[in-house]
Amino acid sequence: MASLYLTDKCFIGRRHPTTRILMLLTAFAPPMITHKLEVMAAVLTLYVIASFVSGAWRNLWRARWFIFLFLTITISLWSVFHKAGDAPYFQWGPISPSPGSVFYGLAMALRLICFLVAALIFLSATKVEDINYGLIKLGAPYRGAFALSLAFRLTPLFTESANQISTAQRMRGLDTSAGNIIQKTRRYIAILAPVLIAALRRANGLAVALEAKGFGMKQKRTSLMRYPLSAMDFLWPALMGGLIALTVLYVHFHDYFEGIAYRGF
Amino acid sequence: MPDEYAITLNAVSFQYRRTEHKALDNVDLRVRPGSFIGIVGRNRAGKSTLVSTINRIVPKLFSGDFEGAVSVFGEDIGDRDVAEMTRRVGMVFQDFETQLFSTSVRLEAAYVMENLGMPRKHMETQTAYWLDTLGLSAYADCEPTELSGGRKQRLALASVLAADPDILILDEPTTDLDPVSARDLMEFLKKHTRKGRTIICVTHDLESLAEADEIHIMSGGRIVVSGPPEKIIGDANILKKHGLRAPQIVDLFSRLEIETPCFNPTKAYNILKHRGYRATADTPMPSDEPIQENILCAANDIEFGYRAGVKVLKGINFNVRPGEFVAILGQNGSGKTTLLRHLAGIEKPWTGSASVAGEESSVIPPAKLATKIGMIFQNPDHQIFCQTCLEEVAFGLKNIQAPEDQIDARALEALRVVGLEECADDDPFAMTKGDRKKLAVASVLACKPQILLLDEPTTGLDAVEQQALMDMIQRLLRKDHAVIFVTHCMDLAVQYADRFVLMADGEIVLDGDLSDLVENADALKKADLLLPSATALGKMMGCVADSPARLAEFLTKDN
Repeated sequence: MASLYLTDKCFIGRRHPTTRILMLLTAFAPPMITHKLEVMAAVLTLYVIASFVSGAWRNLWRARWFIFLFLTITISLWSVFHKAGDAPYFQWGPISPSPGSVFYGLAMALRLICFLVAALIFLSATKVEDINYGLIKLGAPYRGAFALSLAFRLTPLFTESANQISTAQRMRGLDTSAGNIIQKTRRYIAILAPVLIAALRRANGLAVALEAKGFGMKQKRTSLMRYPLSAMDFLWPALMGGLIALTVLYVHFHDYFEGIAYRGF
Repeated sequence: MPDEYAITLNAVSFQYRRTEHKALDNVDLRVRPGSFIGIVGRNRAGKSTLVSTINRIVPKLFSGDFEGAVSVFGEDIGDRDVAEMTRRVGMVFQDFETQLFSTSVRLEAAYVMENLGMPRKHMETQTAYWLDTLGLSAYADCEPTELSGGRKQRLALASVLAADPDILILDEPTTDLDPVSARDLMEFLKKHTRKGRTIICVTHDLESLAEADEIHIMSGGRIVVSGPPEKIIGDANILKKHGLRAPQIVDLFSRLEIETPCFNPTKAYNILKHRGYRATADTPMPSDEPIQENILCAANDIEFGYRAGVKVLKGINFNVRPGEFVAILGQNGSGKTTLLRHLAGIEKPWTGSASVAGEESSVIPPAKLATKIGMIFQNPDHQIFCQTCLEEVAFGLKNIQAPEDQIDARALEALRVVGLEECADDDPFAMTKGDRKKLAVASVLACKPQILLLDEPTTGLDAVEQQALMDMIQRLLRKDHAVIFVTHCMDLAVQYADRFVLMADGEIVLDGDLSDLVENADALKKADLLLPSATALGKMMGCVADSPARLAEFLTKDN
């Protein structure tokens, strides 16, 4: 199964869906506040620890090659194109990588990976229905919330469809692991058409099934799920708020003391 | 004044956009509340379109030209939306998997009720009741995608019934159910009509409609014959005229020229005895073919599961020799498809091994494996990926590096074998499901594999298409080849296979020929299987028969 959801039996999954969404949103804030590499590294370390504690590391491990690729491309692009103002290693037309641009690239990559890890922790501990529920409780219209959650519902189905087609191709003699990157890419493109057709059929069938199951019949729908709020549902967002405050304070005082130190010289 | 009918269709016609013929052509239908109605007919007769008009799926969600009027409990539903009909009309689709989109069985069962705004307490009670009634309580927290086909089908039904609709529409509700579950479901539905629920059931399994109040045969978008079961499915000539396969006892009685309508083997036995029939042969003629020693494929002590700690296969051992036509049968979720996937090298066992011609199948390079083993999946759409039928069949030939100058000729030959030679340049996705299935067979056959694996090859096909596909596969089976197929359709299994492997809870509980199958009631019970009616009747009469035709040959009448 290609779904990212693993378990809700963890410190994240046990929270009210609204709390989880708020935690996710606040988790995006610290890396957004600054470009400082040490802040990104510290926040990322914290999130990776959280992924181990919550059990989401399995999804992180599944995504390891994607993360590696992401890291490499982001660092390379920022290093090459970002003008940090310090002395470059070399100059080749508009390309002038410098220590400053490399560090900046690394910070940008860590920022994006922070987002990715936070999202993976959230999705590993949150069912699609919980996302839906949480969004509605936060005031989102049901149709909008459902449409958003539908993307999470359908992605695994399409992945499954692609896997089935790939298996059928292997059974007809196609060695999907052989060849160079271009040949492999061409093979994946060949899968796209049947996956797309299967996806359209599925989406069409889903639309009909949803209507037949009374989707959108009432403005206010009820829910089988029950999520009693506990003290922890207030504590965790507070802690996340604390993390944001800590980041702001660090950035502020770091700049302040750095300024004093600079003036002192 | 309230209408005396639950459903009324007045001169309803519908033509889907961009099609040449009407899917429904001036259909009139009256259904009384609390009745159990069967709708039968060949594929593309208009059955699904007809039932889709009752909850407004047609014409609301499918564009086309609609004429006529539909009323539900006396109320014209012409201005209603599909969602508004949910409380009155529940529908289980033919493609039931599209109907499941929640992340747990429990939530799926409650989905309609949530949309209807029912109180949580009521939803909890209803969900628990229906999951228990349909044997799904143990899976309440599982993801629907993890369930076997049969359990998914039952879940689709539970999710609809939980909302307690007045009218229940079932479009092919038993295609993925094992025989015992299918029988239980039909009995359960019949009981429900006594509680006032109106049930409309579209099916190819005519025997399952023996208890219906009325049956309608559709052809070319029209209801061509209507009547009680005795008149409709009890008359082999009417069924034959409309391309339908008669229930086995009806077929037998027709051959014996007995005019008493009967669907039940025990009743049939009494009638035959009363009329002085007896069996003249008690066992099938043994095959003259010597048993070949070489093993084509083997499962050696396979243990496997999709999740840690949950075994789907528990120590499976079996060998297949050239010339064998093997049916793998068993209850829903017993591991039949998983076993097939191991033989095909798609799955790697936890312990043990699956081998093809002495080599472990999961490590054989794809190009080599394709010449040894071919697999036809349940859904043909997952194995079609080219623009034309010819390209589709040539796909495998190119991969196995068949000589360039022979590829087209071999592909055309494979298309000819399945009767699709005229469709070489056609778009596969524009073909009917039956033809897409044939194309999938041709695509696999082109590589000339020694072993053909088929997973539920007849699902979604009507009786004529089923027979044609199985006849074709039987013709293709040569002495040095083997066919292994997974099915819930006992009639076809008994008619075509010469060896039966019965599975229950991940284990093989019987491996033998038809005589073994007939004699071993315990294994059948463990695997939730029922003998086809003719075979069950043959057993009572003291012979082993694989079809009504064979049983008729075995029976003679004392004068």
